[in-house]
Amino acid sequence: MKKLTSYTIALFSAFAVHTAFAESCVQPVSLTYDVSLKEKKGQIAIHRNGREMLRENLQTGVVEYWYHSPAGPLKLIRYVDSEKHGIEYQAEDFRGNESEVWKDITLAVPTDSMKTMTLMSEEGSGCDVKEIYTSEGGKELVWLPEKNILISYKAPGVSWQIKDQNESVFKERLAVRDNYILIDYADIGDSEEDPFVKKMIRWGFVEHGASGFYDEHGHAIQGHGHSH
Amino acid sequence: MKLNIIYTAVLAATMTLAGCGGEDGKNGKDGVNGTDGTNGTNGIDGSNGAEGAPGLDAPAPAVKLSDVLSNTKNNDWFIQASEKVADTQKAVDSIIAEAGSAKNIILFVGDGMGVSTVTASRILEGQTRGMSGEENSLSFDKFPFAGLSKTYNVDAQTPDSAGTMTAMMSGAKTDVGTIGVDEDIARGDCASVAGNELATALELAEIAGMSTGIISTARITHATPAATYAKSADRNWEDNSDMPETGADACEDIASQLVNFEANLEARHAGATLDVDGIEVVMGGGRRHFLPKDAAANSPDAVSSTEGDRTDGRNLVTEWTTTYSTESDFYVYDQAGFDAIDTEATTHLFGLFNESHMQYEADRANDIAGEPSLAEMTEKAIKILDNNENGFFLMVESGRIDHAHHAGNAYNALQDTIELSEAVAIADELTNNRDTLIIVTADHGHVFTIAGYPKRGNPILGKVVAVGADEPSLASDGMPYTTVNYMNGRGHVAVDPSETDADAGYSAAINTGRVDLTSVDTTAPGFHQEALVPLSSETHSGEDVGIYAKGPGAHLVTGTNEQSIIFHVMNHAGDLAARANSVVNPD
Repeated sequence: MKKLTSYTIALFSAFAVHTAFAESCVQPVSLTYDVSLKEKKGQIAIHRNGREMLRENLQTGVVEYWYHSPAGPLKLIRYVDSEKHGIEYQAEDFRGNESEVWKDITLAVPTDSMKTMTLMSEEGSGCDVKEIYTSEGGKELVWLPEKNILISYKAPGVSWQIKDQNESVFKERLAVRDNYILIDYADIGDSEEDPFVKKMIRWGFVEHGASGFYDEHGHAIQGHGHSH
Repeated sequence: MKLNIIYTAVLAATMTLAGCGGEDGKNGKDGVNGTDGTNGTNGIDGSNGAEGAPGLDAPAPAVKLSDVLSNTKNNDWFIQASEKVADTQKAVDSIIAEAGSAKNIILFVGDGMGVSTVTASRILEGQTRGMSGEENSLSFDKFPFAGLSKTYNVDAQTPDSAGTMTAMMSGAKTDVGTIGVDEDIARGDCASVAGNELATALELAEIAGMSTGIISTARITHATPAATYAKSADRNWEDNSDMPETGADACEDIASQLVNFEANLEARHAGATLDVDGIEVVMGGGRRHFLPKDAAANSPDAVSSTEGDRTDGRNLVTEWTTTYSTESDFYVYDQAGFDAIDTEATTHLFGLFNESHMQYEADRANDIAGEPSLAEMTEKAIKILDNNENGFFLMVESGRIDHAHHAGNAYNALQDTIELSEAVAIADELTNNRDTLIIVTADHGHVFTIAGYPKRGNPILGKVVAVGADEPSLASDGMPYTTVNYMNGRGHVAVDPSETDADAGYSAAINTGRVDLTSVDTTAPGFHQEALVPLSSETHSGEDVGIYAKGPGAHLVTGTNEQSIIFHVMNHAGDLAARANSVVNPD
């Protein structure tokens, strides 16, 4: 466990100066990225709305819903659009580190090596401060730290580039999955006869995908660095 | 066998010596049988031989059984087993066989608590107490009567909780996945429910005027507790949003059936103008199935943005508090509310402590608002239910033994079993053997094994260390292996060793097959055991499970039985059906 946690710690140690970014700058927003991983190309949409967010893989229809409870815990529902089903997870493996993990999830940077990067330039002010980080090996990250928005990320074999930034359509996109049948992860063992669960057994349950990519069968395509 | 051979030789010697009586005169009358020996059933003295004629050859002294066993009788194992037989004989001598002798009935169900789970848990508990462990006894290990239960469902070799609990609560085996209905049901077909409903022990007790209660650490709408009060063509119909969009209008979801239990039971016997007072104690998890899909209805400790799942707009918690609205009726959702309950001033208690399942016992301290333990809930329930002079029926489920096994995490399965043992012990303390039947059993087992040849006292969650060795044994692949393992499941998934939530393993990739455990602490809470066949989760098993019993009617728990016998034992002990019939048909 906690590989993602470790990654998060690494990421935010690099950006320690911004770990307490101004809440007022972080607003509901919908972001669409062109993403490539090795030979795979696709788009991922991130819809943020306060303590909730959706991360849609627009190619596979595998969608993650995250909720950061005021009481602390993170909750994850992983929807599979083609099956109109979802699996509910209680993200206990982030216990004690939820706030930092939440920032990481909403930023959605697919890397585990940020601590090796160096701040090269900073421009703008207030909520619009933009920073550019680079590192040896050709990595480059551009982000708006106060808004916690990724502009672009490039590393060997991986690329994220923001395509659109609009008002949040989180509620509309969540409503699409409103009537999906949900299964609690703890009940998977008692639901082996459920057709959806049977399919998931064959495909392998979708795991925390660093890359955000899944193949046509729902298999997570691992990004670099933090496989599970 | 060895004892029998010795014993036979003793008898032969005794008879031969007795045959050396004088040849003059008639033999006297046979002597009375000797007193039982000290060695239990194998130690009964043989009958004295015929008396020899007086004044002639004096009979030689008989060889004493104790002499033959002189090297054995001071053996601690021998003494312990002998005393156990004596205790069992006392229990047999004090059997209360008359139907209806049990004023109170308590059924404990360890979900997924197969025999290997019981064994490993008693060892772990013993080792936690500084013992070698194997010699330890869980609370229900000490019960005088035990038998075996064949767990298969009518249509399934390896069963699920719905079919098995229906058998236990209603006395008839049924199909997998169905609740409170017989085998003529078609799973998922609402229309097939009508006419196939089965009465449950809890319903009979309710009609008979007893107080009733259900407790579970799972969702209270989950299969095991649901089978005490609901009739459903599918175990998954826990709230209205879980039901088919068409064709299920005539069926009521499980949560709604719980809240409407009193009205439904009275309606089912409308001709009898039945007037029951509802289930007095309900405690468990599963708030999501009782609340509307509206964030405004969230509990203060909600972990979801919208806690409720119901899409019919109903708030069943509100409905319950409206139905049970006196000053002695209480709804609670956290430890503080639970602690504040005065058992002597409570008529109805409804406790929903979690949105979904309650926490594993080892993980309970991490709950946001706090949850009571299974033992605490059992104590609270009995102290409320025993206010009824007509007695009570209580079902207590440790629901998460099953979930920990499914996740492939033996630590939590065993810890929850130990907590169940604690709950049983408290129930035993609070009740009287003369008027309370306590049954402890499981609905099914898991593919959980205790294997290898570890030495006595080896940590049950540890690696196999052989007799006389100090270092772990190595398999033919050169790597150590653990004593407890799973036949299938997710295997040794990557979870933090300190993690006390077994389900954290679902976030990690399946990792079956052999793993080098040389530097791994396999006794840590977060360790997930190795497994062979890769599956999304570990599965139930199909072998028999134990039934442990004490109190009136407990003597009927013996031998190997269809699982449905449990209802019939409870029914006999409490005379439930006859008493309920006398209420429904007073003439």
